[in-house]
Amino acid sequence: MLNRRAFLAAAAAFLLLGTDLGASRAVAAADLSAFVSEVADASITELSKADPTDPARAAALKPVLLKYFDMPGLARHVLGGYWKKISAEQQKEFIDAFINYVASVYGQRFKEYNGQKLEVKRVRDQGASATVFTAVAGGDDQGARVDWEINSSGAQPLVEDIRVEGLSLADTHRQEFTSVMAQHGGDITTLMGILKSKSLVN
Amino acid sequence: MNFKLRFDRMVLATGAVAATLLMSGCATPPDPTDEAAVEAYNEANDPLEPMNRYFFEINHVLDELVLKPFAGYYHTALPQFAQDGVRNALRNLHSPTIFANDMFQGSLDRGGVTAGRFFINSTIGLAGLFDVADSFGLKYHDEDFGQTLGTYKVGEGPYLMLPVLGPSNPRDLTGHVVDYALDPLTWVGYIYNVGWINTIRGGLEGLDTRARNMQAIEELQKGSVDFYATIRSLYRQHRNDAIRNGEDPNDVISQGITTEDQIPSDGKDAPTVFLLPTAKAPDTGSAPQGQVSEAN
Repeated sequence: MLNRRAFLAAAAAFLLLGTDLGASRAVAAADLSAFVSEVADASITELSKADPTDPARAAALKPVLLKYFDMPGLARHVLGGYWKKISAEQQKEFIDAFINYVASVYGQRFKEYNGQKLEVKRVRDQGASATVFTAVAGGDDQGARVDWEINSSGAQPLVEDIRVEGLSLADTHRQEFTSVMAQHGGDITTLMGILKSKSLVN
Repeated sequence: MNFKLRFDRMVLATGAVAATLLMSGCATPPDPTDEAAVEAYNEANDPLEPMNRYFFEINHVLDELVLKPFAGYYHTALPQFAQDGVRNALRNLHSPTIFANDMFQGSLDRGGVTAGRFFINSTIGLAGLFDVADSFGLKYHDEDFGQTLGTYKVGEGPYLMLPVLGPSNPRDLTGHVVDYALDPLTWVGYIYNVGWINTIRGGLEGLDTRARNMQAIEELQKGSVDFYATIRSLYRQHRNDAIRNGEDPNDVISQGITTEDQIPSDGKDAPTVFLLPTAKAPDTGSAPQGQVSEAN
């Protein structure tokens, strides 16, 4: 009897837990969709407020990157195996230089912005990570597929990668960064120099 | 005759240069104890890097001297509708090879779209100058034999930077040769001794693509840390995306069948999917909602 009651209680708990999990995941999917729209809106709002110069655009994009993107994670990814070979001090310096570089390079691209809208098509929630599939359309363009890789394991979701028409930002930068590192025998000085020369913010 | 002789000499000379470069062009593999360098070397999959970089530089100079200025004139001199007309006509000429590759990949739906587009655009669309089929919902997509090989799981092989032709790999290079042989215009040129039409077509294609991407290429180059490595990575990612027809890599079970087709996002009424090798792949043409696969 006791056994049966315990079993029932366990089953009930399991069922409840199950439904609870299901519910929270459904909410998470809607949240992720809203999160991506929020990132896009924030970028567009900040960038449209900025002066129409490249340094101003870079400065406007930087806080958006810091708030919504997993920049330390991206920095680690783009260095590949070389990340572990540099000192903690160099890692910290590299993260900062990388953020400034990304803000500068991608801030400039917003000058082509002419009213395109982002539409969330599908969310694939895998618990700790998720992919949000969106389409950017409007303006003069034909439209583009943009997929957002989200790290949703922390307190707040963070963007880990963006793929435009299947072209990954993280993987493309990883190829070029590791290529420079390999050419200089794993010494990060040259790469840091190039990043700084292309940065318009500090 | 004289021209042919000169051309043959040029081919010989290019061949000799390529052979010399190939011998000296192999990258030195990294020290096997240097894990980071080994990882970078393997990820790059570019054992001929020194030779490839050499041709990349040559192509870059050719681009600056010839292609870019001409593409600039083309872009500024021709009104947008004329440029679109040129592109539509060029795309229409590719229809037979696209159709053949749709069939090789077992994509009957996409093949139907290609055939429909070809007939509509060649007639109502005035020899392909107007993309009328697009407004009937028959959207353009690209296919080539390199992609067909990719769908049969043929590996890309090491990266190649070809003189004039640009980035490639053994799989895609093989694809080019097969597509060239599949193209009716190749045989028209050969039989009627009008090979120049294909030269002009190739030139126009280069010009059109360059003109359309003028700003994108400039910004890419400006922001890039190592432009050669950027192009290498983008080429590879673009080809992989094209092979999947723009579908999400994690969703693709086999060509044309995605998990989307099996498990609807609302979790209800899972449709029956017959995974027979010859069965018509469900919903191939229209990529999962919202995946704008315009150029795949």
